Amino acid sequence: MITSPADLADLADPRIADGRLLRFEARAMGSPLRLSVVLAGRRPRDADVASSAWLAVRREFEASERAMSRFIDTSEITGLNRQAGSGGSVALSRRLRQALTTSDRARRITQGRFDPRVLTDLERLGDRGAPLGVPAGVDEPIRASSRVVEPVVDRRFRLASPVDLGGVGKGLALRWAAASMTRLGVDAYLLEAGGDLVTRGEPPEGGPWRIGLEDPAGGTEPLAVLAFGNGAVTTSSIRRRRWTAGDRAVHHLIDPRTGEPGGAGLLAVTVVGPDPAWSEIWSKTLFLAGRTGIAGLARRRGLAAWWVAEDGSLEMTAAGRQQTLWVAGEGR
Amino acid sequence: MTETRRPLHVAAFLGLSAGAYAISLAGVTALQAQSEAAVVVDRVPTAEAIAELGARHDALEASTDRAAAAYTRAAGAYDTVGQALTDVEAQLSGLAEVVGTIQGAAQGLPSRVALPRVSRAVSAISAPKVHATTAASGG
Repeated sequence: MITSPADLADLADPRIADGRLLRFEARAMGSPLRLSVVLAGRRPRDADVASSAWLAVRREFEASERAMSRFIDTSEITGLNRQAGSGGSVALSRRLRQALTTSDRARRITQGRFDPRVLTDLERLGDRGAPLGVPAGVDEPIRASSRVVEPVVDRRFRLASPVDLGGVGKGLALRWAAASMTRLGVDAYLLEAGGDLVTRGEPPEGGPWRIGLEDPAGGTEPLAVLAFGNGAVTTSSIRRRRWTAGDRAVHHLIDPRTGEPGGAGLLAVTVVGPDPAWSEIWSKTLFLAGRTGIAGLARRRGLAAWWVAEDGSLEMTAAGRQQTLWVAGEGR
Repeated sequence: MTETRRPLHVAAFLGLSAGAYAISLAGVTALQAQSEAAVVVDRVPTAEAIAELGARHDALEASTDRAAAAYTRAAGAYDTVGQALTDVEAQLSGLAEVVGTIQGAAQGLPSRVALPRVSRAVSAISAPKVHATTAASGG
């Protein structure tokens, strides 16, 4: 039984900041996983609940990783991808089933701009996960109208093409972890997984949570500071995951319509919305629209979005401006 | 006793004559009616043209009235603008006097003015403290 914040050291190595914020940190899905819980008071019970929340978050991310990570040889998705194109079906867990059906919905809603069936292209360009062996058969080229996953019978599904659920998987893990914390009664926190965040309630000092927008060119200062209460913020950026394939620079954000890295003219796109999975879907979709198409698409969809072009300029939608506290160079 | 005999053939002749006359009269009447109907039909376009001409004349008269009214309004507006132009000319004359005065004052100013020294250090407005940063994944 945990009786004081100090007792949490053995459990999760938390750090208490300013007496009201309990912080936990670990790694999950290849990225840092951080949780900051706002304590309602100084009672041991509050710290106990925060610790339970952190354990629930860890469990959720571990389960999501086992279901959806293409880098783990024994993950569910690796097994399913190895069956892709062979006609064989696999019984799926709730998490993987939901991830695939969400991806399929996203493909329909974005008219094929978002499609997880880009794993073959990523591997071709050198971004390799767990070995899949020789693909039994790949749906080439991907048909925008065809489904990502085909239900067979008794919760068994089959894939026509291997899928990469990295981005949407992390968004879903954040969604499920947030739901776990809500069930535990934690109502003010900031949960961060590799640059994507979920916030609830207020920070200890009150007011909105303030979230910095990373400079994708590598600057130490944020390009802007966003402010909101309950929400999710995700960023699709090529700052880290880019490399050279042959004699050309490539990155991990693949346009499913071409099979090549997309988002011409852009470095990063950030979206704020109510749900982390759909914020992730839209940040990637907007990125793939490229500099010429992003403004029209974001405004038509009414998204709160920010994007950084290759020349370093920052632009945003009207909905994004409403949630912007400060912009570098504007002094506001 | 002499029996008076009725001249039946005379009566028959008279009857036939009267019939022939009636038929002739009816024929003449029919021809006359036909002729008059043709005349009426011939005159219809002329009557319509006269009616249309009358309507156009009315419209032309109305247009002339409107043009006359517009001309009257334009004349009134021209009078107003003319008065405004007179006022503007008067103001320009006053402005020219002011410019002349400023020119005289400007000629009396020194050609160089020493400005006070200012610090080159400008404090940048830094970003507010943030709780977290949204960034590229994989860090």
